[in-house]
Amino acid sequence: MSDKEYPALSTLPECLDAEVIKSLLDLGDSDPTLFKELVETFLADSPPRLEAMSLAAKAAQAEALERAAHGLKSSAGNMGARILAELCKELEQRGRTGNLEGVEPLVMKAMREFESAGAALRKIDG
Amino acid sequence: MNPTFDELKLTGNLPSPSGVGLQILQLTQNEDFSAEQLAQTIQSDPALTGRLLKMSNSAQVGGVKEIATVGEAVVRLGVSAVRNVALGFSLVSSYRTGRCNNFDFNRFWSEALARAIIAQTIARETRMAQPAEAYICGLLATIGKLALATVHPQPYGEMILAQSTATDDQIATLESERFGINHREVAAAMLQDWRLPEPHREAVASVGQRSVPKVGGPPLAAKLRRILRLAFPAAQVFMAQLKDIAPPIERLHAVCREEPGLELDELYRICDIAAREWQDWGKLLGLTTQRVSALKELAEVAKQNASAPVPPAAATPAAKTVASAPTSARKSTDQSIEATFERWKNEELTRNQMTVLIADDDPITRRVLGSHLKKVGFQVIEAKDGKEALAQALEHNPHIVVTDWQMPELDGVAVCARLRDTEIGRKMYVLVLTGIDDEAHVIKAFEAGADDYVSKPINPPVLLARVTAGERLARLQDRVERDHVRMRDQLAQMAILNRKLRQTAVTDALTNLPNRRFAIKLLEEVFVNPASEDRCCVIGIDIDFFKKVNDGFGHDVGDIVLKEVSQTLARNLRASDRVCRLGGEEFVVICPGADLPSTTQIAERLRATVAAHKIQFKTFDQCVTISVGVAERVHSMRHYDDLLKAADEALYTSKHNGRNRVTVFAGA
Repeated sequence: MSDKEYPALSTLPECLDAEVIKSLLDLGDSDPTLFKELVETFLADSPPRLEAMSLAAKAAQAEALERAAHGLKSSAGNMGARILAELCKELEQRGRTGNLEGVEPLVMKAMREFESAGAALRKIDG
Repeated sequence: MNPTFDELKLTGNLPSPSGVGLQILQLTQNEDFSAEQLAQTIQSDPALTGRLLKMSNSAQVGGVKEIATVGEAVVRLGVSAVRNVALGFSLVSSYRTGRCNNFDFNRFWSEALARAIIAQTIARETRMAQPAEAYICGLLATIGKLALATVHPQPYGEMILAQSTATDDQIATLESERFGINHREVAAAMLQDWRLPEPHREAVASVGQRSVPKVGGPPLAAKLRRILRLAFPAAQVFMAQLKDIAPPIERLHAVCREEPGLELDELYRICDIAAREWQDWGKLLGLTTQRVSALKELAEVAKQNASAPVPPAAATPAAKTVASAPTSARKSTDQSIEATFERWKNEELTRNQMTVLIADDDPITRRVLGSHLKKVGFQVIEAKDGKEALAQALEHNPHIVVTDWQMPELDGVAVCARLRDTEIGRKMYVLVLTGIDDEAHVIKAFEAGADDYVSKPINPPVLLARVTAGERLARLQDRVERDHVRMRDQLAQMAILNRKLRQTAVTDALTNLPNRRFAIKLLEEVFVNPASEDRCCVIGIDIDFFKKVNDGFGHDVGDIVLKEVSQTLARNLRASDRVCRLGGEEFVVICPGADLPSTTQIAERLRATVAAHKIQFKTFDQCVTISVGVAERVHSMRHYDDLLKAADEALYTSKHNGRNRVTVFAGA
């Protein structure tokens, strides 16, 4: 890990994990387009997954919920969106155990979290 | 089984279809296999399944429902087509690279594919044989070259370099001299090893000969051989540059003339159909093919080339351009060839020669991991699901595989288990990423053959440390592998020596002809079944007044006379005849499958040619003559000695009647 300082990190909102973001920015030395590409992929790939989670929650399809939440959990974790990742982990768990009580509000919360994490990531990128 | 082939096999280095390819081959040898069994076998290989489905759909006419399963493909394309594709994929994808520097593996397969498709098309259009049988014979007819290049990379490479313009027959002769076995014999033995039917083996082994010597052999072999004889030059036409088109066209015309039932126009039409199929299949297999103009036009160009040896560039318009295979496929093949060579060159693997395959369905994970690994110097390839991971692993042979556990199609544990089923997969260091941090799961991964695991969410420094541990093991593995290769090379060298020794034992040192021991072995084979109807003739030969040459001019002159006569005899025989020196000035020609009238003609030709050939050495300047006796095998002969005695008796009559003549054995 480098000791390089990034101004964007000082104003990082709660929803993002500074350590993860820093490790991604560190890779920028050898891979300059990495961060931009990751943010673009994250912003493009996540909405369909959230949509799938929402549909699965409404239709009470435990397995579909588990699958969609699992996928988003990885991306969110990699992007440092820790709250979103936590929510996805919880939803994945619920899907696996079949305990779907109150999952719909959780999915709604995940959607809101995605919006704020996405906006924050775009700001770093910008 | 050929003993020299057994030695090649012992090197453990012979090409063979990979697991599933071999299973398919064996399954379809059995006549009553079901389409379902075939589909199941193919499905056990995800890479093969993917390519087959892609091919099935690309062959579909628009508007038809997409083929989604192997079962549908078998129904839609037919069992034999699916089998052919599967076998082709299996061999082509396993032997795309090798250690033999001067052997062009891509070109080899491209030509083999052309020959296979031409043979298949000829069989289909002329109904001479089952198209699928012709396809297999065409595809595998030169597999012996690949085998020799694989087992003896260094010496075979040198031979190719020195003999770039040799014909197939010349190459076969050189191979026999250098390796004690030629590629046709190797191919026939390999086909036998793979349990292909006898007619296929015979056709491949005898393709260089004008006629099949064995009388009473299966008629199918003769038909397949005729098809192959057409497919060989036609495939060379497909591969040739326009300026070199004349020789293969001429060879194609020559073999077409030997086929009374086949008009040249019809052959052209068949080749034109095959050319289009060749390009489609080439694309599918990632082999470079070129666009082939209508055969009629090419024949016209060949004619012009023949009349004007150096055609101006403008006279050869848009007849041929090299159409590339999908560039990605070709590029990756080139890269993996280079990577392989790099690996052999250096003693120790360096970091940048170390390839890591990352398999994860999440693009962000792949991108982040890839970036971390590249930063510290690894080469990285990616796969987005388990199926792709297997296909990539088998194609690029990475040192380290980092695979996610939960993936669509095939999960990480299944990928690991499948890799461990293959020979190259066993050597890879496999690291499984698991989101489920529970011991029972981890044990499952180790049971499937994983070397290590890392829990998610991934902490990059931890992952790098684990991959580095894998790197050390991969390096060790590579060292062991290199030692193995060295050992195999030594074993192969010893096999050559053995074969040469064995050959020395059956070769006459002075004349280089086979000796008495060989003659007896050959006759024993003919007489192995005393009741057999197999024809055989022998010609007994003795140089007249040879004692006078030795006594009057010296033994050195005598030796020259023996050598010259030997060469004259060897040059004037049919392909299936063998001349041996029995000792002194005595020779015998063994003609398996030949009849008496034609053998008598050959005998007369030998006598006349020797008598007309002037030998000059030191003070010696004259022709010598031979006395000849011809005999044919008849039912009453239970032992080869009976046949030799008959020829001897006729030879004695020739001597008695004034020498320099041919006598046919008149019967006891």
